[in-house]
Amino acid sequence: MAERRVILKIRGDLKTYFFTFDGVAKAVDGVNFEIAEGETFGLVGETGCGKSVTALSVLRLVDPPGRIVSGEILFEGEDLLKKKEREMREVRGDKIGMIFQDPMSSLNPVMTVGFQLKESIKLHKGLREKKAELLAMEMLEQVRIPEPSKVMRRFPHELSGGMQQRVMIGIALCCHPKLIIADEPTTALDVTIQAQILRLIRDLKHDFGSSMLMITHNLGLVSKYCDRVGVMYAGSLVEVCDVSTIFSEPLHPYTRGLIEAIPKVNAEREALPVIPGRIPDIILPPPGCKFHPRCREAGPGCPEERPPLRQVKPDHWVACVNYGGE
Amino acid sequence: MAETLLKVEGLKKYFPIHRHFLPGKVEFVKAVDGVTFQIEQGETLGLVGESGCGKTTVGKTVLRFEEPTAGKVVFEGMDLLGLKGKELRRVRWNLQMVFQDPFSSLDPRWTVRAILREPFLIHRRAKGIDLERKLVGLMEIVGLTRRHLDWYPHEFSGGQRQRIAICRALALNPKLMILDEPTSALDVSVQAQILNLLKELQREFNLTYLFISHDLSVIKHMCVRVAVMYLGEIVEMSPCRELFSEPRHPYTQALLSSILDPSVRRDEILLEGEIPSASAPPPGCRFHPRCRFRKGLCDKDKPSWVEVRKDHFVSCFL
Repeated sequence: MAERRVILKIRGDLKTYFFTFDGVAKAVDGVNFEIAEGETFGLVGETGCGKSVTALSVLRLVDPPGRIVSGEILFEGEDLLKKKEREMREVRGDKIGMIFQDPMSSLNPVMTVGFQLKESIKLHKGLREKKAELLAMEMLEQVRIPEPSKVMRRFPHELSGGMQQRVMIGIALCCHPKLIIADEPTTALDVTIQAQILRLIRDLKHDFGSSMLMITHNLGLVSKYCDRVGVMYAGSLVEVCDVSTIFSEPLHPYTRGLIEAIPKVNAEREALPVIPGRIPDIILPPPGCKFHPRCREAGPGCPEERPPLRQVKPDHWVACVNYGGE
Repeated sequence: MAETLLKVEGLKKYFPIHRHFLPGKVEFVKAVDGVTFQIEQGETLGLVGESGCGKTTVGKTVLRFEEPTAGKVVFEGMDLLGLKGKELRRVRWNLQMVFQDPFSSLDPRWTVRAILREPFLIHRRAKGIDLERKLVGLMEIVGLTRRHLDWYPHEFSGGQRQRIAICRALALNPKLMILDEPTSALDVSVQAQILNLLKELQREFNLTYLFISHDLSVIKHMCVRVAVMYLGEIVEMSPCRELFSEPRHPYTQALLSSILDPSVRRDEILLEGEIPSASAPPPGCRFHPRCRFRKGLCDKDKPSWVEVRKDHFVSCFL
């Protein structure tokens, strides 16, 4: 395998637990992966599987009662978990840009678009008002907003959902971050607008030479916009591989079930294959492999030991006892 | 030839917006502007479109949750819009609706029993032991148990809640069910379960569905015919398979190209611009500002509704 420059490496079993009155919710429970320079890594999974908490952990934005209890997050070789809060603030928005799911609630409703863009630029680049203004306008042009000078003076509620998300992207990318974290960037948008936004993100990412962590529940989106993908289930990664591999030969039973359950456009099927049961409680997950109560191929060993993520082929890791064993 | 169950003609729903404080100066949001379609007994008609195109309003006006501004809704040969009070109630149990968000469509302070009992009591269909027996039967049909009757909605997962909403709609043995994005709040694995359930129910009870969704792959899976809506109007209507293999309207083509289906590789058609406001729709063809093929004519005249092939209708100059 060719030597790749790794930009983000999560190792040592990242665990983020939420210490609630009902018990410890293991939102992220042993996640390891890496993102190479220029790569787009997709993190997929269903609601509550811990994909967003993983992203927040990278930025250290997990609020109490949540806490990162173990693991290392190496960004450009430095462990983000060892940094002081002040140092973290320099990383956020500058080297790592974040695009959130719902633009309406992530933009400040009482500040103009221009102010919010300039805020980030002034803070990280140490520029004065005039220069920041110019840069902000330039950024708005880059996210293809018509008449940037007018939009600068607008408030978020005066813009449509698609435009708001463009502004969000502008704020996230104005410092040309090394890593972009996009958490369900288009779920709040319509399909035709979704296509526009995804292409915009991809183009800008390419122009700035950034890497991206794309969080989504939509496997179709992953197939089009990601290079590698990790599938999460109940706080853990169950499969990591190339995007083409995950659709041509998915190995983990959960991944296969997930792919089969999507209605396909060019398939005529009377009933969709379903995964029986539902996602487990993360406070009291099933012992051993967390997927075994719903798994068609579960054997006697499955409830006993939790299978680690093992390499089965070059660049293909699976956490299942049926694969990757000797 | 199957019997026509529901016929909707020239349905319009305008919502007034009082932008100025002066009385008399009222603008309208033309949420639904002249929609015509019919549904045959036992079929599933899909209604696709983006948010704000009026698809939910169509569903609501058919049921008269909203009073339509103009048009006709004929159910089994009876004009629903002419009915009032008791007469309306006698017919309306035939039409039921399942809403998009199972978190807000069930009353949080009622037990499932109370929620499901309501339709029986209102329509005086059953009481006492008979009613209880029916409730248990209903729960089993949708894959829940007797014990769940005493639970409150918040104790269920999203998928289970949607099952309860389906249960409530099914309670009176309706003929037509309007499904308004029944799975868009759910995860794929749960979505598959609900879609399968809906198909089973349809077969078992000979139901007719009006399936409203923005997700084309779900529509393809569920529907026999599809109508595509854009800004309050239906721009194309055709048998499902034909719409996917030979879409005629440029908007349908763009919608289809935006499907993110890992099994399909299609050239992406990127639409310019955004959806215009329904209070001031563009003149002529409403799609023309975003259309790749627009000609001089498009911004002046409204294209007529043409049958390009049997059962395949398009409203476009091309």
